[in-house]
Amino acid sequence: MVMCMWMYILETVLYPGLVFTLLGIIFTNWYVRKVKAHMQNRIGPLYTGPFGLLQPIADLIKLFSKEDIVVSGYPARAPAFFLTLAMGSLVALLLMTPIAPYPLQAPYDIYIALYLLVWPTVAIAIAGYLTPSPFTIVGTARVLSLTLAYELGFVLSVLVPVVLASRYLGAEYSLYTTCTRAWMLWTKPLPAILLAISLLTAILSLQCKTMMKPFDIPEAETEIVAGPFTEYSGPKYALILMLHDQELFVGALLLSQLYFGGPIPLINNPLLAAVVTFVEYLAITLVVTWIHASTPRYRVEQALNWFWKYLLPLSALALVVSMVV
Amino acid sequence: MNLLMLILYVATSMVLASAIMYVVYRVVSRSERPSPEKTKVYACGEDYTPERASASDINLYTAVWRLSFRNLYKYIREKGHTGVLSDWFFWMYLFMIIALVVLYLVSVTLW
Amino acid sequence: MNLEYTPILHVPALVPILAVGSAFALPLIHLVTKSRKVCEYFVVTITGIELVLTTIVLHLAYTSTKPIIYTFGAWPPPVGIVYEIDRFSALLGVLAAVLFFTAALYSTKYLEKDYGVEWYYTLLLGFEAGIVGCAYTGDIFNLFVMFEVLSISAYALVAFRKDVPEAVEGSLKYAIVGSVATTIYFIAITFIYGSFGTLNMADLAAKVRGLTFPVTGTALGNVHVATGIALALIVWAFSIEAALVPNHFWLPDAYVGAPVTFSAISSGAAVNISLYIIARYLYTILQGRDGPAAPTVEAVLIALVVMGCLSAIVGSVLMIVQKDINRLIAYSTIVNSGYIAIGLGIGTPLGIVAALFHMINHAVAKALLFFCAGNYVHVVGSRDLDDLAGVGKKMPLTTIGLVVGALALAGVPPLNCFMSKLILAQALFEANLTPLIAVIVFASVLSLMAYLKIIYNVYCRAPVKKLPEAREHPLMAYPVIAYAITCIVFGLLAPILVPTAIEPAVTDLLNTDNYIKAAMEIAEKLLR
Repeated sequence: MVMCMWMYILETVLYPGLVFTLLGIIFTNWYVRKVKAHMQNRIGPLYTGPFGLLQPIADLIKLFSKEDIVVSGYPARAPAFFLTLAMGSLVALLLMTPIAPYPLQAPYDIYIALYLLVWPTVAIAIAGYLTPSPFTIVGTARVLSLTLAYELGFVLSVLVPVVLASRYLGAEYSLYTTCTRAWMLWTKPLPAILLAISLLTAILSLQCKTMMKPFDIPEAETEIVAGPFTEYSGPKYALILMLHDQELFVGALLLSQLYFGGPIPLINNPLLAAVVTFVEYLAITLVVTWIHASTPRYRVEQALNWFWKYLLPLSALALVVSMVV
Repeated sequence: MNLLMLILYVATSMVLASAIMYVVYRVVSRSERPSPEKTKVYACGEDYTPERASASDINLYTAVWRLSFRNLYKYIREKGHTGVLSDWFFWMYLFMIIALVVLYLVSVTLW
Repeated sequence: MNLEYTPILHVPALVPILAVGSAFALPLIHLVTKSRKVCEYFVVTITGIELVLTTIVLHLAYTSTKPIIYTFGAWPPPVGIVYEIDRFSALLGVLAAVLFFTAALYSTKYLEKDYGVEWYYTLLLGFEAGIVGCAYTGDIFNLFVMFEVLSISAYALVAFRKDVPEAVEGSLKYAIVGSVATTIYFIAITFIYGSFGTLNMADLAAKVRGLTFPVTGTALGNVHVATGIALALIVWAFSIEAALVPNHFWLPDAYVGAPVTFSAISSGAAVNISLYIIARYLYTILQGRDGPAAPTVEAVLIALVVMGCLSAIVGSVLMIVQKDINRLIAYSTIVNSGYIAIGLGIGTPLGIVAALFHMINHAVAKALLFFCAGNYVHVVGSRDLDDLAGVGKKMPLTTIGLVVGALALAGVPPLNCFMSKLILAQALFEANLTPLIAVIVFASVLSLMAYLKIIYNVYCRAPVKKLPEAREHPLMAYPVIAYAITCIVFGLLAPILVPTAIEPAVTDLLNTDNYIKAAMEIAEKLLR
């Protein structure tokens, strides 16, 4: 039991917990910047470290060493409290997936996983509302309005592999067991189609969740400066940037494991398994960044309408069909 | 593992990770009081009081109720939630009639 | 062992009688003493005693293997009025008593600017008698009487501030809708009495099963048609008090002008009691979807799920456009009532566990939110969210309570409402109703938006007008803190609470055999 406890704390702190996540955040930040730069005929980070890999660290050091400015009359610590809580929730989510050596799992735990993904939205909303300037209020209201689109889209899409794996392979609606089994369904024709549809909708929901174009409406810099984050600078802005990259990192890792099993198909060869998981994560992040770099921005009601007209019916249809077949 | 125990484990790990992050933030960030100049409300040099910048909550979610789901809101508010008793009773009695007919038929035929 | 003559077994009867008796005594006490303080002390004492008594009943129910039966005047069950208390009803009784006790404490400061509080306290005690009586009774006509007591106290409580126009309007609408509901329930009773020839719940359950019961024997007429029609009317009538769409219209209007203590109790206890009565009819009397009346019950269960989903959607959709803090929280009651109805409508034991646990969690979190709203409104004197801007900064304790309650009701882990929603989600997965998870997520997201709107207004916004300097009185802050702590603790203790408290209660609700046998034994013993 004591052994178990230590194992569990080590998981939370080192791998796949905090330290791993921090490395992931730094890498994701660099990767997104590099890909976006190349698509826009630029080079991107170059000087700090090999290929500019250390540029995100330099940025974070810069932000953390700045003065922590507080808006007068508003709490100094509450935004950081909620932002770190959201980062913790995403760390806890990774502990429930197969990349953890001793994953936390129970039947029907997919609902917990889905709700852990709500924390970043709550944190960003509270952080935005706690600095009342017109830009932050408009931006935060947009974040919350879009929740109505992407949260639902994400839930409906993610439930498809869960339902399929539970019905065909007895995964008992658990995140971990779904990750270990759902990838086997790509060989059957109808489940494969459903998985493909839901993967597409899940990636688009992730796109909206991480505020990437065409859904970067909350922080539309040409209209409302930086949306909820307008008034933030220094360490708190560093936390916000980290949370943002963490959402993309964890979301991409989650999808790659849910749909392709992550390390599971090659679990006998740990090195190869790690490489494959990494490649899957790179691919999903690449898709998200690609769309980000090549599309213009929607207006908020256009995005909502788009989700409710096309994406949500599609994912709901996939879910219903996956329950029936 | 029990589902309800699992959520406690997950919550513990969430709190642990966030506590570490928060401590790091507190240690790293300089916590001296900012200079008074920095706490002043600044609005591009204009004389602008915080009271004037107070945005009304009615403007918050207009994207949802005025733009995207306008028709849904119109329908729900104008057909049912009018505050007029006869409108309410229309829906209530509609439901009662449906319930009576369905349950009568089910009880007579299936039971 | 002869338990009949131990005094402790008279406690169940004492609970409603004490409440009604002190309700009638209170105006006389005020007439004699002419003191507001005496009234307040009296009511706090009485609700405290009620809390102790209901806890004793809870202890009795959880330690005995059978439901507790109390026969008024020692008349045998089908003839006389009977209280039949199993763990489910005992738990709801304690929940109601806790709400009333905190409400009585809270009222002492909350109503300091109002006059005529002795009538308010009289109605409050009447309300308590009605709710606890509804929970404890084992007789469907006594249930009607207690429901009338509850309703009439509630109509008058809504209009307590008679110089507020919204209060009077809301009360009148509530009274019209509510009296239609009680009348319809009365008609349903006539159908049942005409065909079954009895009003006792255990007796009815026995007759549905085709057993003979002492005195009344077997059913008189064609029970099929009568049961179908009566069940339709009963579900309709009680879905009014439970505020399920499409019978929810009265609730926001009634809560707007009412004292927040009424709103807290009504959404915590009265909604629960109505849903409990529906569950009692479906699961104990008609014995669920595996019992003799399976097709009829199945139809009602489907109706409950549909109504629950509609309530969650309509309530949450209308939440985000409200400008009145009480009305906004009132719509959230509709949403949560919908969740409970979905849980009851799934029809599996796990669904009922989720429903009962959510009843408790919602009552706690909703009372917390209403008390927070009451604190703000008490200081500012306006319910409009615009006028409340910035008031939260002056009342840090209340604001912390508001944040905890809002996050709990929006279902953020690991607070209490998340736990019950988690069980509800598990029940939905098991019953193969996975798409309904999307309904819950949709409603939760909209609720989160609405709660954050309140938090934005009371805390984050700069005030639009000069706010008074007053802060919350300790007596108004303590209930808030207590409920906020309860929200967190119930979330953390869920793995212990669910198997030890919730699951036995649900087992009792579903255990019709025990329910019939307990009543039958008493009847035979008394008839001998």
